[in-house]
Amino acid sequence: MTVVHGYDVLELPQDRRILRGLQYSNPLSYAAKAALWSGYLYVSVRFLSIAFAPSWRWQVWVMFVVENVFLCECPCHLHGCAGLR
Amino acid sequence: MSRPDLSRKEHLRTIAVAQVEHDEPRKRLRLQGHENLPFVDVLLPCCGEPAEVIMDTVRAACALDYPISQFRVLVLDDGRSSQLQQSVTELQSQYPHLSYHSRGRQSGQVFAKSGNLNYALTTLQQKIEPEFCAILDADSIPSPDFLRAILPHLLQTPNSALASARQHFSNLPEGDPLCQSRNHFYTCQNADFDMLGHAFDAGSGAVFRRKAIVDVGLYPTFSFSEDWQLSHMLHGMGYRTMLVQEELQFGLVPSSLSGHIAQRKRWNIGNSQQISVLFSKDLADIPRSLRLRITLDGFDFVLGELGCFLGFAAIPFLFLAGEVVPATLPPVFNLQFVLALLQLLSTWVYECLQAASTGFRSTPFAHLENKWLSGGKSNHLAVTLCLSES
Repeated sequence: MTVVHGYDVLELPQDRRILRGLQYSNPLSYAAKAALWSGYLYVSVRFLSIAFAPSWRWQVWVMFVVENVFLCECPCHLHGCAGLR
Repeated sequence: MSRPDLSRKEHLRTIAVAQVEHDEPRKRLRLQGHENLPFVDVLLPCCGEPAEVIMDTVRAACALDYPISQFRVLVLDDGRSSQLQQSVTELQSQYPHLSYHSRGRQSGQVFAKSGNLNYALTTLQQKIEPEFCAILDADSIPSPDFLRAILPHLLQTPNSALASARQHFSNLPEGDPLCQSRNHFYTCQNADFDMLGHAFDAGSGAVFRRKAIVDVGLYPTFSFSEDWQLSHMLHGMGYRTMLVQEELQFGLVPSSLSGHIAQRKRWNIGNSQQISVLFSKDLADIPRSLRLRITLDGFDFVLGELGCFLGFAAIPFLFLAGEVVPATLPPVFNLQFVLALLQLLSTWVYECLQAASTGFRSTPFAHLENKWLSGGKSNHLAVTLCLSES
């Protein structure tokens, strides 16, 4: 039992599923970074290969745009995403 | 290749959470005692729902494990139902802290729920200003320890404004084929936002400090998703909002596919209405930086749905169009292939780890659960935006 601002508060045992999941927090963070940066690298190489290709075809650029439509992160989301400053 | 990239927002949020120092997940707390507890108004806004459904919620709210002298249950009926009023009146003999209120028949009025709640906050609480208010949807039955479980989180965090309970549902179909339980949103997305101090209110089952809501100008009326917008307002004004993951309320999900689509349509329109915030003269009292943030969030949402729909629609045509990968040197092509595989593999690993980190309450790629609706969402958004301009 603890006292919070004059009120008695009892702490109950934590949900076991949540406790079991804690061990994956660090690997999850590393996996997120790996996925993010591999995506950045892929887009960069892809763009350069398209830009310096011997000939340009509209289908290739549209495909690149489609890939980045799913990849594109509006900068405002980074500001809106809590914790990212 | 395109599908794993839809996980990018998930990756960014996970990295943001990892940068925040936190030792353990949110604790499970219970407020003890019966003397000198904070006074709470439990608000039940309703408009046209079946009276028997509302009365189930009313009875559960009246029977909360909390001193009767320290809370009131206010039924806020925008439908002006005589049957509901009579049922509430009959129950008052058993629960004297229950009351019925109506500001008149409001069916069809836009932003009615916000107006209904603001009516309670400004008109019904003139004589007694509670320290906290709780919001329950008409079909959300609270558990008896609802208040005792949520209030301690607000009490122990001085700059907190709102704590919401995860929504559980009593009529989920087996297997939850439409993902109506929103497991991923609660166990991953909003849980992460809770770690960052910016959990989003999902509507029902929220308890808030009345002073904080008044401070930010009451419930916003510029969007159907007043709960989501209130969270934006509180975040922007420096308040902390929280999510309590326990099973504290049980509501009802739409029981048909058309009902599910209609619910999602309403949410999507609510998010798209954020776009107008920056340009609205009626909202000039809101700080410009906050209006910009809300507007950009709305743009992000609309562009995301439209882009998803157009992207999926374009893929079959692109594969029929011929060469979609430029002719290039074999090493460059191989490098792209390896990077694509690496990104695909790391995304799959991430998704599996994310599911494991929730104790397998969520599943890999669950954040894509409603992407099949992107076509319909895009249509609704286009219609809404065109009608709002005209």
